[in-house]
Amino acid sequence: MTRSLPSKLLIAFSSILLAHACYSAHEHSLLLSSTPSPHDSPSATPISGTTLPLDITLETLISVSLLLVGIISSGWELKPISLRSYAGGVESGRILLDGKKVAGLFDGLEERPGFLDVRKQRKEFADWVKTQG
Amino acid sequence: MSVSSLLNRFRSASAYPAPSESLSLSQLAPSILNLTITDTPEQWALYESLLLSTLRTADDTSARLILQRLSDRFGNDNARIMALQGIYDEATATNQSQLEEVLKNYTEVLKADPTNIPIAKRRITLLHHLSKKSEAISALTTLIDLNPTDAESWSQLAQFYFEVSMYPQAIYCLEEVLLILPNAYNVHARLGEISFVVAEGLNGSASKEVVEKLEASLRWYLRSVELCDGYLRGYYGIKMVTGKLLDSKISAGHRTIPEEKVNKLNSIATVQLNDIVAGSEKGGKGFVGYDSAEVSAAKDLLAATS
Amino acid sequence: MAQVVGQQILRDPALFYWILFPITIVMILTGVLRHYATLLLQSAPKPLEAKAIREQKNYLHGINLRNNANQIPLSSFASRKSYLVQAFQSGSFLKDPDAKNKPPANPMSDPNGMDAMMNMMKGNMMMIVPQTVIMGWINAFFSGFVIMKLPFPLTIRFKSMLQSGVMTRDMDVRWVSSLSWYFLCLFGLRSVFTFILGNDNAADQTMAQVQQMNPQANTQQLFGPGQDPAKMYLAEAENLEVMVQHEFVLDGIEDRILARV
Repeated sequence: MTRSLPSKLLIAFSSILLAHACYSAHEHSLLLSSTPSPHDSPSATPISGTTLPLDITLETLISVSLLLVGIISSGWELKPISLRSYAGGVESGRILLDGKKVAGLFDGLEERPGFLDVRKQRKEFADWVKTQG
Repeated sequence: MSVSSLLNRFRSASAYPAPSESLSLSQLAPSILNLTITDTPEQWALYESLLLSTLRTADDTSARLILQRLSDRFGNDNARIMALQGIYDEATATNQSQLEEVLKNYTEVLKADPTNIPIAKRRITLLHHLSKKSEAISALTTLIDLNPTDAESWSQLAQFYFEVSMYPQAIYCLEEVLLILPNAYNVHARLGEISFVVAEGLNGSASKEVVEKLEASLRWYLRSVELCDGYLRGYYGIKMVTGKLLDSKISAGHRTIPEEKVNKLNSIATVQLNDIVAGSEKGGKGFVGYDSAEVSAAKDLLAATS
Repeated sequence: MAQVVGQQILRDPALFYWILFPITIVMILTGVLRHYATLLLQSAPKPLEAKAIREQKNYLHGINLRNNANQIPLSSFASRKSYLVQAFQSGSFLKDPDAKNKPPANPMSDPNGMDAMMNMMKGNMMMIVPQTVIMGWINAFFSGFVIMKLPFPLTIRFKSMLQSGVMTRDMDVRWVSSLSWYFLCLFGLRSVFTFILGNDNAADQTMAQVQQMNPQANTQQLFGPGQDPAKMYLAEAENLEVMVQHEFVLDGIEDRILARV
């Protein structure tokens, strides 16, 4: 899965942006709790009732969307979803499992393991061994 | 190696492996038998595949041990274990009378329980092996009457009919397979092959009937490549059949597919086959799945027609 | 809202150790025991006899033909259709063709149905018996005990759930009675069992494995009890008969292939 350079940059940039947004939000909440509120009533909790500034919210949203775009556009190969391309991949060896060819989807219909003629295979093997000397 | 990777190794091998492949699979026996038994479905599946491999390579002592472990776990009266035991008996029988004994045993089991399908299949295979072809066919039709939705049986019956040159019956059976598994592209290709053989066998090489059969064959092949991209067997068939159809002996009047289309299909198949042959010879990354014998056959065909 | 801060109840810590833990442990142990007892009592579903398999599979054959008719040429389809319709209508695939015109048998008298019912009853007994016993045990020994206090406040609605068996109207909802603890354990221990016994239905798994070794064990019933196979066959014959449209997939395939290149 090789990512293209523009999408790598995009991912890096939006990650930094997202981290910055998180940090700003954290700082904002610290600021509010440390400064005493003007009417000093014990019942009102200092944080509730105040909202994050609009720019932090926007920064978060934009950075998340950019990050998504970056990840999606980083050019990975999608898995085949049509039988045609999957079966073709299996037959040609484009789709491998542990570096080995995957058995064809319908091979069982022509190999028919239930009707395996074991004596014939045994004989073939014995003949092969003879030719190997 | 873990059980699952070993199992993948066995799964990627066909049921008819090349002798060298059988040998290397069978040589895994000691390492597999030394693994602790975890009683997972994968492990038993692995045991089963290994049993067949060891029997192919005449490693009967390992086979005996595997069978023993399987029957200890699942019991001797389990239908599948009975079939495996049957395979073992067949493989280790040394003379004709022992084989007859195994056959008699199968018949008795089936008399007691006619629903024992694995044993029924073993019996049919053994009958066929003993060259009792008509008996095998009639036993298989009985089995199919019991269970007409088993694609494997239909496919085997098609093969039996094909061997005795009863082509219409073979085609009928393969059509039944398609009713069960409509996307089986290799069955489509097989239908194409049988239709082609039928066309070859007809006398009067340019009659209407021959053209009909050839076109039917072409269509089956086309369907197989429609279902499976880059299917070597399918393109080989298309190339071969279109070559026959373009033969000057065939009068255009009998055709339902116009000549230009046949021509185009022929060139498509040629391009695809060329790609595949070139790719496999270079050992290209997306071409390792093709069978080398099939590729060289395709190469010969290309050389013969160009 | 004014918090009810007070309401301290002085409890002997022994209550905690000698009621809360025993109930929990007993509940877990019975769960494990029940699991193994179920395994022991579970009988493998009886395999169907040949005629029943034949009846079901031929029915499926008809359905397959109807679903995938377009895969085969029209002539092949027509011959199969006429054969199957005729066979379905005459009832030649039925388990007992004589029963065609009789009313369906009482499901209670069907041995297969009885088997399934027996299994169900066994399962239910395995649930009911230990629960009755344990609940009796708790009622006899620990009824009326208040054994713990939840660390968080709850609304009054939870009172009936957490304080069953303790008839005090004014007690804070956070107190939990022994009987309620039993109920909480009963319904809440599922994930604990999943953890201990490997999987939720480890019992089923082992069965599945044996069945997997038995591919033909056509144990599931296509025709449920009370359903009349003869009627279903007739309906399927009708379905096949009304199929007039047949579009062979191979028609025009050459154009499809050419269009793709």
